[in-house]
Amino acid sequence: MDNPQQPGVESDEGLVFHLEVSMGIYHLTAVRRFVAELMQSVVNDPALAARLAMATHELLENAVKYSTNTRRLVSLRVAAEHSHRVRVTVMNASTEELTAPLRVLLAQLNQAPNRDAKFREMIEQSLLRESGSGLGLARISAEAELDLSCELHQGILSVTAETAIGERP
Amino acid sequence: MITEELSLRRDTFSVKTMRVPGNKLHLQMDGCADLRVQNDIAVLLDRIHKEARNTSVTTVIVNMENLEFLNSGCFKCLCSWVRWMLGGPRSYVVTIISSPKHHWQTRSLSALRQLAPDLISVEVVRDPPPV
Repeated sequence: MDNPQQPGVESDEGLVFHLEVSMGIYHLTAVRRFVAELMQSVVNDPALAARLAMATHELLENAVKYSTNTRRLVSLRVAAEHSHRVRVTVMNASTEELTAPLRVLLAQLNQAPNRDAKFREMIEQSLLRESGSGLGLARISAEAELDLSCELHQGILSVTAETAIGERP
Repeated sequence: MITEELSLRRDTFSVKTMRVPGNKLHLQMDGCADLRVQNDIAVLLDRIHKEARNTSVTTVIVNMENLEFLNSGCFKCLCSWVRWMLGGPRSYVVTIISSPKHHWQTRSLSALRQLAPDLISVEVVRDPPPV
């Protein structure tokens, strides 16, 4: 495990936690539980902490599945601005070819007038797929009620799930 | 008594299935269902569906009170199960017992139920009040 920044740093901007790890699926539960406890200590809202933890798990699973790095080197960044926003960002090696359909999907999810209806629509589509569920990001959008965004910079894909503290859309 | 051929035990996740009086199967799902057990769950639910269809089972109870987490892939397995139930004679129903302490269950199970509201019901177990 390699921590390029000090974990659990309280900065002027609030709490920032950064973890870089050669991620295996056996790490996911431990990281999800950690994020739930960490965020509960920051936002004092068990439901929001659970939503962020679920998003962390789904984003990390995607990173493990789709990283183009053979070591599955994945970065997790959890940030909470004082009284404003909380966000979870997962970074992994990727390509434009893999990122392009992701941008389209995130735009559809963020622009859906009814996220629950969009989730149900994606469940129906998922049942037609031979492999994979394709539901992880839809679940973050509908169930965790988090806004999603992504960017690809110098071969590193960042996917962020975020919301305002104390606000449910 | 646990029915071994309809049960599953892995490092972080288990399903214990018992036959209970009244032509019921009781599934106790515990732990964390993630990428590691997706294939196992798919196979197990297929067995349970066939068992229910081919015997006199009328109700399958799935207790998720201690199911801490279910990833999207395992959630899809549950959706596929519901789809199988809809694809033939509707000989049994599923009752899911959920806990509010696991926040993911509220919306995921609601979405699952909407696939077949006549066949799926969700009962929420409330925590006992503090003494």
